[in-house]
Formats: sequence, C-alpha cells, structure tokens
Amino acid sequence: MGFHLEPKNYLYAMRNWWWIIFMTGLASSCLESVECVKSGDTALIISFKKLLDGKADTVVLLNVAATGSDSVFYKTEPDGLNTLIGSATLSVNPYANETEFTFVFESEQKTLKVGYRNEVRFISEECGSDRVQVDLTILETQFDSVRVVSSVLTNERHPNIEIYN
Amino acid sequence: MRFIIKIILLISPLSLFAQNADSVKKVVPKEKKSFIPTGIRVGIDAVSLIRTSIGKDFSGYEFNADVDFYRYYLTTEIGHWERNFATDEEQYRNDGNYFRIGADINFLLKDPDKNMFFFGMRYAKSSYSEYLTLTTEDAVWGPSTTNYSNENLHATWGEFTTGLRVKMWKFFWMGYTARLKFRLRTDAPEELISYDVPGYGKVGQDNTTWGFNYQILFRIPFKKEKAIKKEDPGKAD
Repeated sequence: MGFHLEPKNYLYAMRNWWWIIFMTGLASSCLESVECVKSGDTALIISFKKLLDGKADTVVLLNVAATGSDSVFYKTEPDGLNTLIGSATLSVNPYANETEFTFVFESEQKTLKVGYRNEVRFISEECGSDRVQVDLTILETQFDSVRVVSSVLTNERHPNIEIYN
Repeated sequence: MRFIIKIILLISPLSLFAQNADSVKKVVPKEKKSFIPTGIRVGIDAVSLIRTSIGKDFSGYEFNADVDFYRYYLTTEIGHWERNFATDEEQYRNDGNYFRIGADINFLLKDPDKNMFFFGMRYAKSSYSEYLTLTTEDAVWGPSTTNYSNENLHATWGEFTTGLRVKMWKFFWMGYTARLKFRLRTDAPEELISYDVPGYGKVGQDNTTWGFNYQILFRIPFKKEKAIKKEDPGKAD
C-alpha cells in the first residue's frame, strides 16, 4: 500500500464527495426558495383630523374623484349626503408618478395633488411582480394643513396623509 | 439563522479532509518550498452547460483557470448568463458577463498528483442589463402594459469558496467549487429592483446566497513532470 492513490480509491473518494455535493445542492435549493410576499397596494389612506385637538374629524363629502379616472370614490346618495368619519381610502394611479384628487364638499371643493415613485420588483416566475408606490409627497393642495405621515403605500393600509380642518 | 446554516454547509467537507490529510501526511517525503508555477489548469463549468441544455429559462457558460504558487493558487473565472421568464402578466429577461478573481489555499499540499482540497476567496464583478414587461389590470385605473429596463448595470460581491480538484486521467481533472456569496452591491436604480445578477444569482434581501459549480478541467504542466513512484509502505516515515 503506497501513498499514490489508485483510480479505484479516487472513485471511492469521489463517491463520498458526491454525497457532500448532493447534500449541499439540496440545502442550497431550499435556502434559495423565494417567499411570495407582495406588499404593493395603490390605496392612499387620507385621514381627516381636527386642527384643535388632532382627533378624527367627521367630514361631509359629496364626492371625491381623481383626474384621469372615471371612478368616483364617494358619491352622495340621492336622498342624503355621505358622511366620512375619520378617513377615506383613495387610489393613486400606478401608471403615473402623480395623481390629483378633487374633494367636493357641500359648499366648496378642494384639490390635492400627490407625487410618488413606483418601485417594481420581480419576485419569481410563480409569484410574479410587485409594484409599490414610495416617497409619497404633497405636490399641490388647496387644503390649509396637510402632512404626509407614511410615504409608502402598502397593503397594510396605514394612514398616509393627514388633513387638518 | 440562514447564515449559520450556510457556514456549516460550507465547512462540512472539513471532516473528510482531516481523514485524507492524515493518511497522506505519513507517507510523503519532505520537499523544498517552491513558488514557481508548475502548470495551468483550465476548465468549464458543467452545471451551466447542463442548465443551458435542459432548462428553458437559463442560458450561460463559465470558464475558469488557476495557476499554482506552492500551496496557493491564483484563480480566475469568467462567464456569461441570460435568464428569461414569461408568464401571462410579465416577461423578465436579463443578460450579462461576469468575472471573479481570487486565491485558493490547497490543504492537500503533499498529494503526489496535486489533488486539491481548498478554501479560498474571490472578488467578483458583473456587468448586466435587465428588462421587465409588466401587464396589469387595476380595478380603478384599468389595464396597462409598462416596460421597465435597467441597462449597463454593475454589481460587485465577495465569495468564500471551498472545493475539490481530483486528477482523473493524465491531463483530465474534475472538481467542484461551493461558494458563499456575500455583500452584493449593485447600481440598479430603484424603479426596477434587480432580480437576478449574472454570476451571483437571485438577489435576496440579505444580499447573501449560495453558488455551486462542477468543473471539468485540463491541466497543462509547464514542464514534463516526473512519474510518481510507488513507495514501499515499510519505508514511509
């Protein structure tokens, strides 16, 4: 028995290593599995608050519409007005970087234009893509006091903008 | 936790190495250290070739070469890959070239056939482009098809490597390299977040991933090497 390994010994050694290779590959494939978690949502949550105490405000709206969309988010009933308590859920345009909303109240109407960035992430062939609106900002508004409280629109649907009356 | 599992998997071959090293250590006579290279080994990655031939979504190749300086090997790898996924709603495509450069340390130094069990490190860089066509149907804003593209991107990362090189017959060698890839940095804009970096793989949230190559190699000696004599085990020290 010399120190030079015979070919059959190589094969024996290789067989051992093949097990390592197999186990490594198997573990690797498990570790690389991608979780299908999507967080994208175009819902923009507007929270109405009282300027005096910061508590939720009750707002009477005739409707809210967005420029470029036929959808009207709120519309008055034929026999009465819609009353919003606290917050409204709108939808930003995912194909653009800004959306303008018009809020029609009983005696006036006000606009709010918001800007944002669309971030797209391809998750996997099975899961598809996720598009998230981030860096939300107020571009223009006729409201007196408005602030962004969450600049990312996610399906967790936290308030994004607070409007104080 | 994942990182710990990856480290354990990477170093698991050590137990086998310890057995082999002991058995070889006893019988090989001492040699003078020489940092003069004795040969160059060039190879191709069989995993890329197999994936290209059997997979619909992958196409690529990878070449590698190393040169020995005593127990240290200067190693370089270059490659190219493309991926293409298409569903009803989206089509993702990327392509790019990459290289890695680094060094390996051979822990089977006294093996007469220059078989290798090694640990090493690499610096890697990739130049690539990504394209995504996304078709969506929004309940409020209707349907739309949007094209996103990231062209001429660059990415860098580091690798810890381990593996084996075994002489099969004359100049023909086989081996594998397992890689723990870490610290990925890309200059991809945030509009389209990088999904797959050629040479690195899928971009995860922790910027760490595994890689594996099975290599077919040819070693070209710089000068004719002496035939290795079998020794009488009784003479071994």
